[in-house]
Amino acid sequence: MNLKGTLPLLILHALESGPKHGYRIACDIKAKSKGVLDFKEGTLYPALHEQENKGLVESYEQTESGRRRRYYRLTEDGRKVLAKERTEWRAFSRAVTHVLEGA
Amino acid sequence: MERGDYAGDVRRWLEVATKGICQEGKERIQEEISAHYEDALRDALHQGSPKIQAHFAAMESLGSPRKAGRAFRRSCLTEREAKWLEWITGPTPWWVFLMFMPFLLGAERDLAHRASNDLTALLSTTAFASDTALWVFVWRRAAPRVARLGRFRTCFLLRLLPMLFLAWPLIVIPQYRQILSSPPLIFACACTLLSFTATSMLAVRSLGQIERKLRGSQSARWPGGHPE
Repeated sequence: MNLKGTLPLLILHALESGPKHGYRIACDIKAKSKGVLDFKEGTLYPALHEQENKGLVESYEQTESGRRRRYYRLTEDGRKVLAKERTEWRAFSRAVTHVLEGA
Repeated sequence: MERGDYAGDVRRWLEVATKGICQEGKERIQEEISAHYEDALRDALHQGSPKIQAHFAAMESLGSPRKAGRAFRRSCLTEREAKWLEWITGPTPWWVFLMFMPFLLGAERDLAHRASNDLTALLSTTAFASDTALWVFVWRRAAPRVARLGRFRTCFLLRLLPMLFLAWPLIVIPQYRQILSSPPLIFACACTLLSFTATSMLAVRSLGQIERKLRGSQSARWPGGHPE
């Protein structure tokens, strides 16, 4: 399945429930999609940095059991974009389902 | 691959993926990817996988380092961009001299030879004065690097656009074209101006990209403190 373009939306959604580090975000997406959406981490982090560049997420470095971890969280702009993109995705998904079921 | 050379595998992956990224970005990616690898390895071991299998699964989850590298170079400052940034916002503003030189020379020539018309002298003097003001505005005032870069981009555009608007009519409008004496000269001027326009547009685009990346890397401090 071509998943290109959905990763930013999934990242924003994963961060809606609170700050997380990259590995937790990847695990969340994988678990909630029952293993269907399994992004390579090499693409997850650039996507996270891209969202940070756009000001949709912000990050914080914390030392956890002697290891530095970078946590990400949604910004206000990120919440607005998530709400807008979620609505658009639902409309898009409904439309595709209608087309496929009507065929 | 040698058994037990797990750290070496991650290091090699990182070397390829962070090639061309600036030092600060490299360190950040290395930390994130290493922590991610360790988490993935630990989870696989908890699930009962043998270490070698857990290692392969963790490496597999990282994906292609070349593909990741291309994506990282789009989202993080590259070495070349960091050099540009240093050059623009650093303590020695070489670009100021580059911006000043043509107008300094023009003003000097006009003063020395008593400009053939007053308009030329006025233009040179105005350009010199405006450049001095821009220099004070961009460089002399203390400001974060991202703000300086933004100001530099604005100044660059302010300097560039009038130059382009003034130069193109020389080539395009017939009555002005007569000033350039021969067709080869017109052609040479058109080519030079075209390449100058294209380069300038690319430079403006690159400046925008650097600013966006810099803004992202500088947001890495939560104002509210630690994550909940």
